[in-house]
Amino acid sequence: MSERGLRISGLRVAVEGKEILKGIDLVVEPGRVAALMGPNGSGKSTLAFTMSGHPKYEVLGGSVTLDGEELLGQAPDKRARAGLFLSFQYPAAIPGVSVANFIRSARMAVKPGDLPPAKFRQLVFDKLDTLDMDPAFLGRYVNDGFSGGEKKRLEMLQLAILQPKYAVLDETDSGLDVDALQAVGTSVNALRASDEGKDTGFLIITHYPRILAHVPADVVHIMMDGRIVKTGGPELANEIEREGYDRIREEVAGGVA
Amino acid sequence: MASLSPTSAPAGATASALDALIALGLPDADARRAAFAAFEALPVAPAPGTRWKHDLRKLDLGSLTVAPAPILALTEPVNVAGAIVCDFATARREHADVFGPAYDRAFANQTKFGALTRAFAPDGIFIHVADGVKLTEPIRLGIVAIEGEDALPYVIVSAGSGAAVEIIEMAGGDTGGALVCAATELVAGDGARITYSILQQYGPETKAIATRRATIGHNAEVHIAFAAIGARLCVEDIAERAIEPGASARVTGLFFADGDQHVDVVSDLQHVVGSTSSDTVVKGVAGGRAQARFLGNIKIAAHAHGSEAMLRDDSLLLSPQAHIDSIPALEISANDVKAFHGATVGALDDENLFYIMSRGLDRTTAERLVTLGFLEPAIARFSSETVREHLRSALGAKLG
Repeated sequence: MSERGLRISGLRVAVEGKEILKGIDLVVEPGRVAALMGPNGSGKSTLAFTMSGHPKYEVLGGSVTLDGEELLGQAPDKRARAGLFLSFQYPAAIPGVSVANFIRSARMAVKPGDLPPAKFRQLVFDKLDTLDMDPAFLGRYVNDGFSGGEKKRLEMLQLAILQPKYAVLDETDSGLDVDALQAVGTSVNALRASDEGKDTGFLIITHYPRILAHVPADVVHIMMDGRIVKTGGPELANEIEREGYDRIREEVAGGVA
Repeated sequence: MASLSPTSAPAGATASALDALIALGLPDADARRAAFAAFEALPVAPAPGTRWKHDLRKLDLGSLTVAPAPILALTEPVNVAGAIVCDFATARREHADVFGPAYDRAFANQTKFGALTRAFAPDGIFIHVADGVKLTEPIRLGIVAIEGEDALPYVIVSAGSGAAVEIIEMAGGDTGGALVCAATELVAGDGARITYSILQQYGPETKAIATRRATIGHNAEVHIAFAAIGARLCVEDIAERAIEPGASARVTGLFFADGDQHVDVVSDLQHVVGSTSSDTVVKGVAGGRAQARFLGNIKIAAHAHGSEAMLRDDSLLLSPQAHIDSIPALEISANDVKAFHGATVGALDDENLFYIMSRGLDRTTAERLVTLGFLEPAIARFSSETVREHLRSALGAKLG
């Protein structure tokens, strides 16, 4: 059982020849919420894309295991089928492909044949309700002409329907109004309270602490310049709320000097 | 027509072959000779100063051998009061009053290949819908290509005032290299509506050339929608003329070529008078070493004020060797018109594919989703849900 969890160790990643992640160690435990905070450009999204297998990110070293299974080197779809989900900061539009068709195909790929069509439909309508989404959404093309808030809601709908073992939420709170943020929080908490989602581990990547008021973190990591510079409890998020990243930056600089 | 057996039918698109066929009993000798004269006089090119992407001059018409049995047939008989749906022979015999004028319009003679069809086609399908008659069920035509035999499917449709008819042409089978040269003539009277949908799924060796011509009356609409999926060579040469105010000309084109397929599409929408509208949407996908071209013409005549034209074409390339040329040509001679043209050419987007794959779908499935999605706006313009479903599954099957 010691291998359970989404375990990142010694991860070094370059983009176009430039090293962005300089040795990341981080563990997301099943059923727990880890927050990864940091200023813009610190490498948070690089970590999310690398875990999901985006071809642009070159792994220089380290490993990412999901309940003991190495993810690095695997195609993005295999990682998803292993139980990893990434909520995109900027989800891609797929014109001509309906939301209904897309989520059905994705569910069948990730959990083949586990739900008869009627049950699946019930699940979809339940989750739409939780997210306060109009069922007309299902007939629209994936993210095509969606507002920022609609895109994030669709990410949350997919999270709720794919029921992954581990979910990485990349800046899901950015650009959301209060209602949308509330819907995201409700959706994540509903999943965590369900039988299917009670063991789901979350890595919430965010610049601002406000999403953590809706989904409290068990552990908070601060990333700067490609490294985790500080780890603490939920109070660390409050500290950043009060004082921003500058004090931690000074603290880190002071420590080096 | 029994005398037209394969052994007695002379070969070749020649005057002497035509004379011999007429001597064997082909009707409408004068009309056929006029068509043959047009065939000989007309250039291969679709319009002055242009040429087909695939060099049609290389087609071997010297050994043209037309299948004596018509490969074009009604899928099921149509018995609706006010509608005539039959072969030319029956129409000539029993409905000469309406068939004669429709046949004499001879739109096919506007192009070299249409004239070839008119000159040599052993028979054809005639559809006439009387004034005010609206058919609720589509008329289904089937074309089944036969190995080793050239074929000349010829369809004439006339819709009277306020009439409405939808025709679905399903084409399949394989000639094994022989030619299917089709001609379709549509006339929509005042307030009439004709929808003509073509699902072309010939086998990989068929060479298919189609000439489709329409005129559209006052407040009438013609919509020609084709989906080109099969055939080694597929040529769709479409022209619609909006000849009275309120006429609406629509074209929908969808093609998916891969391997060594060639697709050549010309759509030519003519606003002959003012207050007419046209609307063209073409979506093309090419993979493998496929070559395709879309030539989209809009002509708005001088004094055709108040006309509106919309031309939209999008191309998706699935491989570096595939090629699609998109050539819009807007020829607008009136001032007070609205004309819109938009075109895109693109390849599969890596960010889109990554997004889909991150949801557990493998790369092949992701590519299929994006490609079908790209074509969906064109699929959605086909009027019948059965046809749309058929198209989606045929395209899905081709994508593997």
